[in-house]
Amino acid sequence: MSEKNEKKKSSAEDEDVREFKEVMNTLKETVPEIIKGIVDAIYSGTNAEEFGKQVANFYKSMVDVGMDKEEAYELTKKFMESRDISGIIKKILSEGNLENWKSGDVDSEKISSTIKNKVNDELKRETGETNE
Amino acid sequence: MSKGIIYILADTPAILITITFSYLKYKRKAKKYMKIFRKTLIREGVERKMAKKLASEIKIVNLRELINMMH
Repeated sequence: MSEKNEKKKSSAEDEDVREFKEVMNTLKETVPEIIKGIVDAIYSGTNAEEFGKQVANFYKSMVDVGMDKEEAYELTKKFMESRDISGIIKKILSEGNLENWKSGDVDSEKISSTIKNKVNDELKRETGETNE
Repeated sequence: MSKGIIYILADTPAILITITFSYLKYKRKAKKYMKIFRKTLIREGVERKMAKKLASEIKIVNLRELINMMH
């Protein structure tokens, strides 16, 4: 009887060990693959260049219409927060809810109205100068 | 159960090393991304100082967040 019990115990242990080995193998293979996937998707050189061009254009367009550099920097920072994919992921993860992020501190209305005001001011100034 | 413990002891260092290397590789890529981003800004006509300031605003996902992402 005791021999039977020991056999049962041993086979259950073998089963546990086999399962554990599977888990370890999955960890060994999957985790690096996931990290690699994230790196390739987010931090590729092409992405960096594309994003750099977008940010540079945004910043320059605001400086060109006469906006103060610090103000342009603040707006560009917000623009980056709304476009940077790693920032978006980080924000979603830290808040744990995409909906929270959507209604978060990226105030696109404020950004667009500031730009509009600056452009209008600049146009008024230019037309005033031409009339004179 | 002793067999299980032996497997844990045998496999854990290998897994830790693999994950550490992957993470270091990830960090290096992220830094390279920031460098390319900063250089692109400068090439596109943004002042060097401002480009540096803007590049520092890029958020890099850290290990804890990476692990959360895998859940």
